Amino acid sequence: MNSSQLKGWNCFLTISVYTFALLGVLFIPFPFHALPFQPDLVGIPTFPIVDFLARSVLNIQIENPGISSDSTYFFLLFALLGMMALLIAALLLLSQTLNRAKYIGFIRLAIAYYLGLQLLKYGFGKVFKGQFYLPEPNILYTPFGRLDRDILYWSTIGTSYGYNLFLGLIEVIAGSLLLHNRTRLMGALAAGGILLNIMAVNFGFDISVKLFSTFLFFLSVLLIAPSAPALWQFFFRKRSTQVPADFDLSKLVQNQFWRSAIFYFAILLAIAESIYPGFQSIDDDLVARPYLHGAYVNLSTRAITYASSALSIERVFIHRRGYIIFQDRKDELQDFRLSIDSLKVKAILTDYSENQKIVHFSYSENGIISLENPFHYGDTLLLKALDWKALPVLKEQFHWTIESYK
Amino acid sequence: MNSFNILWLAVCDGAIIEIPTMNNLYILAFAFAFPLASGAQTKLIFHKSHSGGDTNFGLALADENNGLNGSNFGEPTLFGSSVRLDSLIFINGKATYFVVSEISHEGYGVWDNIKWTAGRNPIRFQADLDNLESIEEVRQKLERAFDFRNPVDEVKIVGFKPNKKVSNENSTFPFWPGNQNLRKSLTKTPFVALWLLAALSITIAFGRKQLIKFKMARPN
Repeated sequence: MNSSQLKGWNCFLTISVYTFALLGVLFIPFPFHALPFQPDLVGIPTFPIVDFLARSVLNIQIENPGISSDSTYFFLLFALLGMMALLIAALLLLSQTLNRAKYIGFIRLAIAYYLGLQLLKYGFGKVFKGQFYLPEPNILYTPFGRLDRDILYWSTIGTSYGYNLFLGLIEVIAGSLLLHNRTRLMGALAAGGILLNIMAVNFGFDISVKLFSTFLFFLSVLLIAPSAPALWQFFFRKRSTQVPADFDLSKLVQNQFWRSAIFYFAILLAIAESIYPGFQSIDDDLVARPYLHGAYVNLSTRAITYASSALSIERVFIHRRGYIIFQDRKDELQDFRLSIDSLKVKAILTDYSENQKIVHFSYSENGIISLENPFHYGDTLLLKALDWKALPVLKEQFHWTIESYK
Repeated sequence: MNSFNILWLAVCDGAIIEIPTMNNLYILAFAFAFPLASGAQTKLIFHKSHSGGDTNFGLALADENNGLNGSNFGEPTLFGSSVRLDSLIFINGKATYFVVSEISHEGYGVWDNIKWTAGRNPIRFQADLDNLESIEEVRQKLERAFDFRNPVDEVKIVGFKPNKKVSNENSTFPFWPGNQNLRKSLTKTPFVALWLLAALSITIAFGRKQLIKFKMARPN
């Protein structure tokens, strides 16, 4: 059925659903590189209402308010957008001045570009190995069973560059197809499949991008929906059929010059936004890690004689983003935010309650780092770097035949 | 002088180094050469990546120093500097030294691409930090032009003398109502990059139009 032929509840629901999609595109605070002001900008009208809903209406006490992926506020934002969509749809229909075909067509175009942009962003993120990055040394030395499923999945995918490249290119292709009118349906079908799998991963591995991935899948379904009867006819009835023509930018902007300018702007923005992180390195695995980054084994014989496992430190890790992690003999891990004062050769360890410990360290000629034990005054850890990159999981291995295993 | 439009040269421990801050030409190239580090993750996965426990996640979220701001929907985000600015020293009213105590082993700030060395980093052409009215203004400039690991409020500013001249250049968007974060964001590089992208798009569209005209005018 053509959108201009919709009547009654069907019409109201259709307009509401498309309005909801548009509001999601506009008001989800997404960390775009080219639009860093977007989260603050959209937060001005939405955050006070969401905050009011949480505190006054639903009486939800939230210690850390903020609209981020799968936070309570994020769910409330969706609820708010849903209510706004119903209200806007009702007002539009009451005004009786709405050109439904043009309104829905414009939203479909916006959805296609947004979904294309997201797929390009996530796709290039994988191609450049920025999304599923190389696991940190502390993760590599944590026993398998002690890891949660989300970090385990993230780390496992991060070990295979080839698979990242494959996943990324598939998403880039789907995203590119969505940007062109002629290939949009193919792109939407590909996007639907990709996003359904991502949803399954996020739900199956408890990764906290459940709501957003569901929203993106919903957008792909919206793009496919008008063509669904034709696709059904073609695939299941083996009948020749024709998919309905989609809304084109030419119906919105008559002037060809401005239409071209808008189209190029959208394409350039999508490309710039997507490949921006890749310019630091084509492969994030190869980016230089910070000072002292790595895994260290404690050689101090005194340390392992303590009865308390918290004092018997087995390994120490320096995380890429400025954390130090201590692993004891029972594989318990304790992390601190780390600042290294290279002038005074001291490390400042800050725990989650903002308590600080200052420990001094020094280097010896044989490559051993002496670090004061932060858990036991007067004790010194003797740390020797481990070759964590030589662990089996990070070895470049590929076998065509089982005989090649040696 | 607008902080976007200056190219600073600094001399660091005797070696001339270039500080490509906010020059528009660099923005045109999307400042892509900056050695930004990216890491994509949700806030929870970033927390778990450094073995943060479930019980500490709430505390980690509450403190912006824990680096969770840049991690959100699992797409690549850029993360910050490893450079800690201890103090900014003014001599005779001119910003003269940055004193830096914590740097990555490469010696570069992750975001600003400045080659730092531990200790005093002399600055010869640092006009943007001079002739300011208040320490608050100095801190604002530091925050906009650099990316230090520590909050600018922690930086000790030594020897600063306020300039009594009234500066009109406090904000590119003086009309913007209230929201400091938003205003800061709008004045940063990517916003300018957007305008340049728009200009580039119009140029391409114009070029395409001319090409079509040329083709139509050409006899077969």
